[in-house]
Amino acid sequence: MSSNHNHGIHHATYQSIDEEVAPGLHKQLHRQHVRGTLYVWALLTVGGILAGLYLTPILMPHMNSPEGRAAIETVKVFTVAAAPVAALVCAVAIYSLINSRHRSHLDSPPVDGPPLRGNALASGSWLVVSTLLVVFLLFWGLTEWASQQVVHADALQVNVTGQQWLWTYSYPAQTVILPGGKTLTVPKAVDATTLDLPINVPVQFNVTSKDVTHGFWPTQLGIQGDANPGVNDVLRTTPDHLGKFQVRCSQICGLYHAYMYTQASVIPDSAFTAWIAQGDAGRVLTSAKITGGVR
Amino acid sequence: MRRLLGAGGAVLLGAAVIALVGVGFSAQAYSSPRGVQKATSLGTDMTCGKALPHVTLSFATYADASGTNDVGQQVHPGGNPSWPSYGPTNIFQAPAHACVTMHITQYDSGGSLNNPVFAKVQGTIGDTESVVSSGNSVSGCDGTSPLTYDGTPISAIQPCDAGHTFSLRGLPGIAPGFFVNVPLPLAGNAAGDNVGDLNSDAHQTVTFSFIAGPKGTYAWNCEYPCGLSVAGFGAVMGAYGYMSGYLHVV
Amino acid sequence: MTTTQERRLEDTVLGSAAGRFYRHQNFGTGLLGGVGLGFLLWLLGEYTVNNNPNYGTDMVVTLTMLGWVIGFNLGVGTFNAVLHWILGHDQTKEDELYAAGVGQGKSRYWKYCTDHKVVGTQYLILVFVLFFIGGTLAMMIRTQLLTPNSSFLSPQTYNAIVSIHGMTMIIATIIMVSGPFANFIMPIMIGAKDMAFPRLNAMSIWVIVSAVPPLMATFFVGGVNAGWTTYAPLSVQDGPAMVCFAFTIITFVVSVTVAGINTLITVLTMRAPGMTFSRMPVFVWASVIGGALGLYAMPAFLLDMTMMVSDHATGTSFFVSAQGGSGWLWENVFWIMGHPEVYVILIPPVGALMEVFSTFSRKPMFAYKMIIGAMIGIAGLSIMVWAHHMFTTGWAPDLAGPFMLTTELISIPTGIIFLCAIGTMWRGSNWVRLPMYFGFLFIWNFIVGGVTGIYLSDVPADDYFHGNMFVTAHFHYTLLGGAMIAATAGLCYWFPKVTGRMLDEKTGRAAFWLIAIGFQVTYLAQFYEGFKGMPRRVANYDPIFAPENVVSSIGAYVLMAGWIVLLYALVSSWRSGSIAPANPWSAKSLEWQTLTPVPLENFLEDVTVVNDAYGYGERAELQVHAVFGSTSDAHHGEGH
Ligand SMILES: [Cu+2]
Ligand SMILES: [Cu+2]
Repeated sequence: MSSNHNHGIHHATYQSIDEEVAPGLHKQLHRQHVRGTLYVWALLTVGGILAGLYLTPILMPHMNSPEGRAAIETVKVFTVAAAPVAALVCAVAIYSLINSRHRSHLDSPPVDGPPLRGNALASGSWLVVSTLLVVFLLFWGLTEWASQQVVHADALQVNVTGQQWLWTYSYPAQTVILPGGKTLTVPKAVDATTLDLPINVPVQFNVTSKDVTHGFWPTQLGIQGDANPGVNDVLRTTPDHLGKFQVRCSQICGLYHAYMYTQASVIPDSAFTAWIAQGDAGRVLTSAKITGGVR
Repeated sequence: MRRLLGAGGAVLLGAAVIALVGVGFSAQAYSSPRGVQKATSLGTDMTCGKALPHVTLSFATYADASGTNDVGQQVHPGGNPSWPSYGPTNIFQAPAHACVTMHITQYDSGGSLNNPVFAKVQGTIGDTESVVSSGNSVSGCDGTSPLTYDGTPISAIQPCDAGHTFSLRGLPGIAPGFFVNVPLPLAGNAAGDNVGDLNSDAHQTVTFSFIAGPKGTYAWNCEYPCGLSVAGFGAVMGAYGYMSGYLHVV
Repeated sequence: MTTTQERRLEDTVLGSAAGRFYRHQNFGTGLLGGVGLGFLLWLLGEYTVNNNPNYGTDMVVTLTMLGWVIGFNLGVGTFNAVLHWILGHDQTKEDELYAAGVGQGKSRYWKYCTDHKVVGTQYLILVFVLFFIGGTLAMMIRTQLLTPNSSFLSPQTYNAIVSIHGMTMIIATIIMVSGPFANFIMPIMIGAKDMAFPRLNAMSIWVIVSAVPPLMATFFVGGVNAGWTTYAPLSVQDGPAMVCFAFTIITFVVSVTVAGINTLITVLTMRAPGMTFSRMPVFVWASVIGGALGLYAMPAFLLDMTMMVSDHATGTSFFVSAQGGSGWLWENVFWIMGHPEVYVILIPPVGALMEVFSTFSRKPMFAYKMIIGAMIGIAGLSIMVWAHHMFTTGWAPDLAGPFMLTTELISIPTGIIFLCAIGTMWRGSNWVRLPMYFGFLFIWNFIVGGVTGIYLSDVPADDYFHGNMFVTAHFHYTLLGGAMIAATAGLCYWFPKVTGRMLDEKTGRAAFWLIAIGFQVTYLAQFYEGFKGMPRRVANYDPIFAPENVVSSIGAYVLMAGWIVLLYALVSSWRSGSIAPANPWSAKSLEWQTLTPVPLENFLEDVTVVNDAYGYGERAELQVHAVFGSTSDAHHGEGH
């Protein structure tokens, strides 16, 4: 047995485990380690991939726009892509924990391990794999992002004003020519404290603030942009599922930040037209009435 | 435990005490020390368009939070003299789904809202309020002199005639679409004395009704920029209890 | 223990100029000085500038805070030597030794003391204090959030607590390793007798101590409404509490800058013979890289906060768009500080943890050069990623792609850290002592923190997650679950050297399990809140989030209980644990080769480094890290 109990202050000397163990046995031990770790790794990877694919849609709410579903897809894909790497790290840690337990005597250190100071193959392949992963993540992100930058020729203009501590929406008078050639008309400007959007009509939000910075976050549309005083922040989306959700303020804005939210609905365009036709008279609570039967 | 009584323990306890004293002070100073005003029942009637239990609440806005009104109530105990305040409390209570009539007496002066949307009455019965003026000698921003109202229901005031607003918001998940906004027109007279004497001080009394939502703690605040700094929402507007409070619906 | 010779030295040191004022200075006179000068300047303000309706209060508070900070440091003796020199006197040898704490026993821990080990211990206590305050505030946040429409705290108090919890924790985590361990351990690790600038070192701790009361003072002047990021113009709109907050940061940055320079120069100039850069322990590298990155990052914070004080007290409008300023200016300068700062927090604890992994796996550091390269790479990239905090602000939308690129590139060097960690463990003889428990916990937490970080780096996903509880959970996984757990591993590792006592592992393990489980429960629940769409920093929330908030709060209470149990283990072991041998872990780096308690100037003999500190399992001659006393190139000193 090599001595590991030399607590001499200045001249610690240890003997290497390698000098004791025959080279053949050494190789065999190594293979055992690799196999054990691989089992743990495979198990964890499968677990991670399944979690990414099946847990994500359960954890996240139903989304009402392509942008919202892109967020869910991204979480799915990134979890699946990261699973093998994360699982490898966990596997080595877990395996080393299981495998070393019996050798650990609390009061004195166990024999030294093999003096592995690096492994060109391991480091090299790690670098290559992590670089490829990053390239993939970036490619995925840029593609998704580019697909969200499409500007529709004509979109329903909604002016969004954040202020301490309320969102207000105004629909300027306009006629929107829809992709199919139909038109949608807002005959007279309407102010509202709820957000109602016609389904399948491209929307352009023009977001600004009266005072401090707020975060305009129509949660289930998957878009978000700050309302900055003196700035017009443009956000685009096309809601394509009926439903209700909330607009929440995502940037702390003072005393009543927590209360800064609005009820939002995606409604059939006939309902939208009927609602908007009432002009200002229809602005209060009406959205709740109209969309009562939706979803 | 004996071992804990060392210097390290003492320092740590000291730190915790400092933190707790700070938090305790702020929790005390920045909450409302003024109690809850419970709505007075008026029986069941048709005020809200259908037969509902009818309750009423009366309160006021004052120019000087440190003042005392004509019935001897402190506006805001320990209040800052250069800040306006709602009084005599900022926390109200009303029964769920009841018809609530509020009488708010506005003693304070005013000016322009940051957003003209808040000059419109919203969410009340008929989307209107009625205002009765008393002793007011200040002109309205469109030249009306003096700015007086005779109690006819109105659906908006001039956005530049606002004193404060009473804006009561809904509760996500409980009453998501609920929203009541009532603009209070400004008041004032030559004496500029607005401590809150119903007999001598200029005031506008605003009356409106709405149907309370389901049970919950609803937050209200003022949307008139009566503070300092950026957008007039610093100072008093950032301090809880002056221009902000709760309506407990029980 | 004390020899006659030493006692004579003490007599001369303590005897000379015994009655002088500066021999009576300590924390108490510091408090007196700070309160005194603060009060004087407050009076001055009240009678001169207070009548300004817009800026009066803020000007008075500015003067008061200035008085406090200067007064405290004058009182505690931070500027003694400088004042002597200005007055044309030099410091005598006795003055220097007195300042180093000779013959003053435990009282030197309450004084301006130039001994790096005393400064390190002072930092350690300050870190405990800050974590205790920050933790207490966190408990109040979680209590408020137990129910959806809680009125436990008013929204104003809640915001004040959220802001100060954030900033207290940020300050604590920045100094939690670079304060105690880069001061106490790092100079010994490189074979130095002290830090390069002992006076600056002592200054750094007392300046930082003077930064804490202004932070707590915010509660008494209205509270900070704007979160620890204090985005403008909300923070300009805020009351005088923001001035106190800014003074904390300004003072703190002075301290961190001074400490960073000191670390850098110490490592550059004070290494023992033979301690080449390629033999330097990873922790030393980590301290240097963290310190250097701090030198880049923190001045931006000082600049931002100086402009903030100016906006408050003099009516400039750097950040008010209605008067030509810009909130984006604040956000940019803030995150130019803020993202590197994350790595200023993270890199030193990771370096400490690497020492733990090597020692307890009984194996050399795996891919030593790669990990150094990775840390430098992280530091370099981290200064180019700041705008990923601003993807949704509307600022420079064309830069979304480039900032996505730099942010995701950081995961390559971060991955290398994982590679080195598991490479070091691989086939090692894992000695599962308390530091290793925390090491394993770090690995799990940092994986979760890292993977959730890549979701946030992706603009389309960030458009959902930004500003919601997902972000809160993510950065608690990296900074608390990652950095702070790694620092705890380091604390348990170096505890015997710092205190001379062994840490009670049984209690420590109980604390570990409470911390490990409480942490997962708290923050996994918060991830779920974020997935579901709950915003950050809200005093109230939609009842649909109620179940997971209850779970998160319960987890937080368990987590806090764990920290308190750990604190109990630390304090009781520090007072009455078993006496620690000089090298309880049979580790190879230099701090374990000297006596415990570490003598003044650290080594009794000259040190010559001959190999790196990781020769586990190597041939006998490679196992020796350093030789002591007479060597061929060291002078023949006294033997042992
Ligand atoms: Cu907001
Ligand atoms: Cu007001």
